[in-house]
Amino acid sequence: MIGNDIIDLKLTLGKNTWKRTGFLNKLFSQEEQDFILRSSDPELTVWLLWAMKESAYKAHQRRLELPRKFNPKAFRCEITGDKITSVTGKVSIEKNSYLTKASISQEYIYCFATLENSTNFVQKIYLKPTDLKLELINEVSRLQNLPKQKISIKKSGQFIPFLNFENQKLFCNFSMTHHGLFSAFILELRN
Amino acid sequence: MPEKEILEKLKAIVTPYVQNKEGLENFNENTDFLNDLKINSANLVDVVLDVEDEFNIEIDTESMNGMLTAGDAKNIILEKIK
Repeated sequence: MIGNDIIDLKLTLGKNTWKRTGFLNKLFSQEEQDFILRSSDPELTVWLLWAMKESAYKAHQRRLELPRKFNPKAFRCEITGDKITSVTGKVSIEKNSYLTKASISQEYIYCFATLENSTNFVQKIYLKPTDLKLELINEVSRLQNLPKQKISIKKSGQFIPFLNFENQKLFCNFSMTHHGLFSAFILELRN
Repeated sequence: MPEKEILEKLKAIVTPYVQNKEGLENFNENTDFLNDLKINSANLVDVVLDVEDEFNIEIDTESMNGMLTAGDAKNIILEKIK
């Protein structure tokens, strides 16, 4: 199972929303807050951890088909590897944990979460307005050799999107994310 | 405070974060912050903080977990201002 999240940094950085009273405490554990405040760029770290939580939330909710919940604090982030432009981490909730990998550029933070390290996937990031559903359908059509006109994206009762082909659910895990003008999808490939 | 007034205040609070303005036209208890108004999940916490400031209440983690629609928010507010 898989989840992803993109953050348009020009919509988030420099706004100081993270300095609002209660903001950090609503989203982050005490340990995470300490980590943020000790980091060299606290504001960027806020959004990095947020993207990790959000992508893990999507993977978790879909995997267990859970009802939606706004519970960011239940997801605990740990950074396991920090290079200049990519940060690997682990996000835990209850007894589950997800592996995350985030890329950071001047313009965005993009993060995805998988249950296992060995997950194969294809993902695409778009930095200008894009019909993301159509791009995803095109990709599925190409990979599975199905006519794209017959593929659509629907939502389950739990608001989890799924791919539909001729009224049948395609068992194919994916996640989509939008923020500002940016968007991205990730599609799990079967081994 | 009458429920109608709470909903009106809520509508004003969420408006700056709404990406689908059409969703505001028929703002009611069933209006879903994410699905109907397309509020980015990163802004949900702003909504929670704005509600706390406007109504002078504190929304604990458990209440926040279930704050997905205008009706959820209204019920939390009614419970806290009692």
